[in-house]
Amino acid sequence: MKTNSIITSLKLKSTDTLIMVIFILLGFLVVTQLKVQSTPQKLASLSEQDLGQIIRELTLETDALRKEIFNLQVRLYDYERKEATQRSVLNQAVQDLQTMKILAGIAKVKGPGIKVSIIDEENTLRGYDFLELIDELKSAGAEAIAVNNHRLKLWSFFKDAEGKVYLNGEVIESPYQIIVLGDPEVLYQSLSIPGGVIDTFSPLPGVNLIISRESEIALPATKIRKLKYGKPIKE
Amino acid sequence: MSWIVLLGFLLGIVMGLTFKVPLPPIYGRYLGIAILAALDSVVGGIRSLYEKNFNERLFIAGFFTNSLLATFITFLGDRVGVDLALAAIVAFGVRMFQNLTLIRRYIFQSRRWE
Repeated sequence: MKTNSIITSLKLKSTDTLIMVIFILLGFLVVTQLKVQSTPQKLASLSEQDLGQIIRELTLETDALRKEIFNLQVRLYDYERKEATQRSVLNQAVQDLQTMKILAGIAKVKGPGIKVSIIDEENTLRGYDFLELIDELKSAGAEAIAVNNHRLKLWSFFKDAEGKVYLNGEVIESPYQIIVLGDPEVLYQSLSIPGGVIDTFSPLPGVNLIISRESEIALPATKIRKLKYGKPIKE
Repeated sequence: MSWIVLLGFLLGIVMGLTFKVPLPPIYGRYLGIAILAALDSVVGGIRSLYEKNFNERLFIAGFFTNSLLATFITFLGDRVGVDLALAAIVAFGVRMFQNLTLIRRYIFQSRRWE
């Protein structure tokens, strides 16, 4: 009743009210539509054509990504293979270096071998006696030799002076202790064969020689020597 | 007359901003077509005002029938797999531009700019 009185007081016709309602509705719908459209579109609101397009694009993208995965896996495989090769080469090199260090006498080494203890009370042994002994051990396959804790190497030398024996310029004296790395049995045999070192040394006055076979001996290392004249030849 | 239109429109906008209508996005298309039809009716009404043969009842009836028919055509098109919304868009769009041309002409004539 109250709205009717307002309408009549404003001299409104019923159609005017309806027109107003229409425009209220229009404004309301426009705003609602704008609000709905401004929110991000969801897949459910898309047409079949749009969805098909999206699927096609996604399929292409997926294919491209799969291809990329494959390529990357191939590259990864390549790198792994290369790395494995390099690692094996490196391992080989490290092993070679280790062997060379032991052979050159600049690395400590342990393993089976023999100990030769010589007591020379009357100082009858000379440098060439040691050379004979050591040559015998080398021919029996000795891999490393130390005399009185001096590791023998390529540039080691024995020398006699003033009735004393020098090794690398240092005096060595009885009791001599020679440690040899190699097959204990073979080394022992090489020294004890008839006419061998034992036979040669034992008759000497005051010389007493004891050989013991060891399952584990350790040899000291010497310092590396700088080359003064030699230069490597590249192959 | 015009203040009724403006007031109604503003009121509708305020209501639309105030009340949140949980309209599923899938119906956004239908609402859009309905709005297009409604706007066509409004432009047609303005034209008839200038031609001095504006009929309120015809306008009201046209407003609702246009909107409902357009929405229904769109709905039907989606059912049968043909985009019939295009028919409504083209029909209302063309007519709106024709009516706007006429309205422009009436305004120019009334102000003797031609």
